[in-house]
Amino acid sequence: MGRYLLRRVLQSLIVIILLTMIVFVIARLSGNPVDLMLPMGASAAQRAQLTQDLGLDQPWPVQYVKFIGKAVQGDFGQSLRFRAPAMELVLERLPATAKLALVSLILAIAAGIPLGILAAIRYRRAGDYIVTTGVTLGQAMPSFWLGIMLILVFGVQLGWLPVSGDEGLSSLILPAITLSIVPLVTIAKVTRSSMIGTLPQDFVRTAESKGLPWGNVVRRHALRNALIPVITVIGVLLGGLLSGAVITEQIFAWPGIGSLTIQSINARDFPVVQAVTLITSTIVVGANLLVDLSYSLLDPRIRRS
Amino acid sequence: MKRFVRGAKSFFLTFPGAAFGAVIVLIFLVLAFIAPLLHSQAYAVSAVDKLMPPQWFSGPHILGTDSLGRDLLARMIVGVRISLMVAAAAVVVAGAIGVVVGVVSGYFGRWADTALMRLTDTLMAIPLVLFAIFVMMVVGSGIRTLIFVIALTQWMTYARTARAESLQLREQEHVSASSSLGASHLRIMVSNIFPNVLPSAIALATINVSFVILLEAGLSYLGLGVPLPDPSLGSLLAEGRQFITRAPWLAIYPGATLMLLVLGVNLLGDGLRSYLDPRSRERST
Repeated sequence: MGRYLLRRVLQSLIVIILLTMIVFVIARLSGNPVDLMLPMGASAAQRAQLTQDLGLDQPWPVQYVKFIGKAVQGDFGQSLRFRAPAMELVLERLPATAKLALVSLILAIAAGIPLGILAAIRYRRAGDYIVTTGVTLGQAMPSFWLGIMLILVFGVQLGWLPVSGDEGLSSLILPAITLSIVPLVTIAKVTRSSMIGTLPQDFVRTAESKGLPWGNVVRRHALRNALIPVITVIGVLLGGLLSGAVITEQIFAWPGIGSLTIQSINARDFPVVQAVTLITSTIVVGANLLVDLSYSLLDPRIRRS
Repeated sequence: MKRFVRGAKSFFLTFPGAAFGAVIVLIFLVLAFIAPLLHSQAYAVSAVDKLMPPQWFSGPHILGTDSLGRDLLARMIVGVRISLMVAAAAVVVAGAIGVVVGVVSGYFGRWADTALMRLTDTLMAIPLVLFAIFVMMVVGSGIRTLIFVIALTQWMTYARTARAESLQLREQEHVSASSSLGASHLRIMVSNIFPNVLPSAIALATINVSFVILLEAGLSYLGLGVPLPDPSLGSLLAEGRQFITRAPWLAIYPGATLMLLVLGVNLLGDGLRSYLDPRSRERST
């Protein structure tokens, strides 16, 4: 276990280091940030001064090391638009996105797993066909269209729910449903096929023939074993959840990092976009590491392979 | 030809869902093909006909008009053409990059392989939309950039599949046979490995295409995709969101069209994959 843990942690570290390199190189390819920071009509001397102040006249490797040194301390430079540290801006907006993503994920799990189980135990019967049809439609559903339709029905026509901003629990409902559709469909699909693979296995049949109640057999014996692929896919879904959050936040004017990113692009506020990209990717890497480690605890076979 | 017809008939009888998907995809292809005929309606601005609700068959604007008085149906059809072209081009570029990188790293193995795996791990950790946004900030926007950016976020899956297959293929007899006959590495990769990797890359592309259509629509929705005044299903939806209280049809029809298109592609792709790969047929049933 110790060696497996060490190897996975090292791998994740390498990924994060590579990530900073990629972001650094792309950032440097974007041209001289000095032009964006100076007012129009600045003199050549001012330009040279700022270039020197920012260390942009030094060779790339030196710049990279400095960039890392600062990034480790949480310094991603100043936002060009808000004149505040980029990191601070991102951290300020992060809780709103985390709340939205977390509630969506809980919704997706709470609905997706039971639906998957239902389809599996009703395999090739009405219940299964209803769930699989729903999954097929859900996979084709553009989540942002779902969001707009929810706004149209519950916000505009019925007037039940607020459609923009963060004003307490009621304003979280529509964005959370919008963002949960992709993970919900995926979780239901994976749970279904994993359960279909598990139910005919010998240990399930043994439990059943011992005369255990069917509900117990499904929950204790089949579901526990069927959940490992589901946990894996939840790890994979995290990155998608953050991507989806960018669009969902834009639809509902939700004050998270997604809408911050869009505002920053329009202002060509590079340090902020850079900070958002690095921070969210690090979160994804960290979360995947946790998922890997958690199911290696559940299933000893994974550690050995 | 006769064999093809018979094969197609048995395919569609075995997979009725795929037949339905094929009909949908065919309709969209026809629409994309005739789209240039509707250019004038799709781009002509009219101050008089602003935000006109759907007239169905009682007037010239079947699905109504947008905020600049342009015909919505015409813009949707031109949008379908643009979305399909962007998606097809992006999938081809992503597949080509991925297969080349995957075959080379799988065939040579060692450090090239390790480097590829870590690189794909890294790129896949960046949330897709943010990755696209980040790259677009650097290279600017436009249809060609859009294709390039989407491909840049999608090639990794192809590379991983191609790599895994090449790893197995290079151990097979036909490869050692070619190698002992004096074939160069390049020749072995081109004539022994590549043809055997291609089917799974194509299978992957059938899943990927609908995902790419949705990604393009998402980016266009954010204003980062197909530049205006060219329509795309995504940018039409963004306008629909803006006018949701006054002109809900602007959001309803482009979105429903997008969903139908993705549904058709998915159904056809699922059927094709099950047909081409008997193993997945067992798995999915």
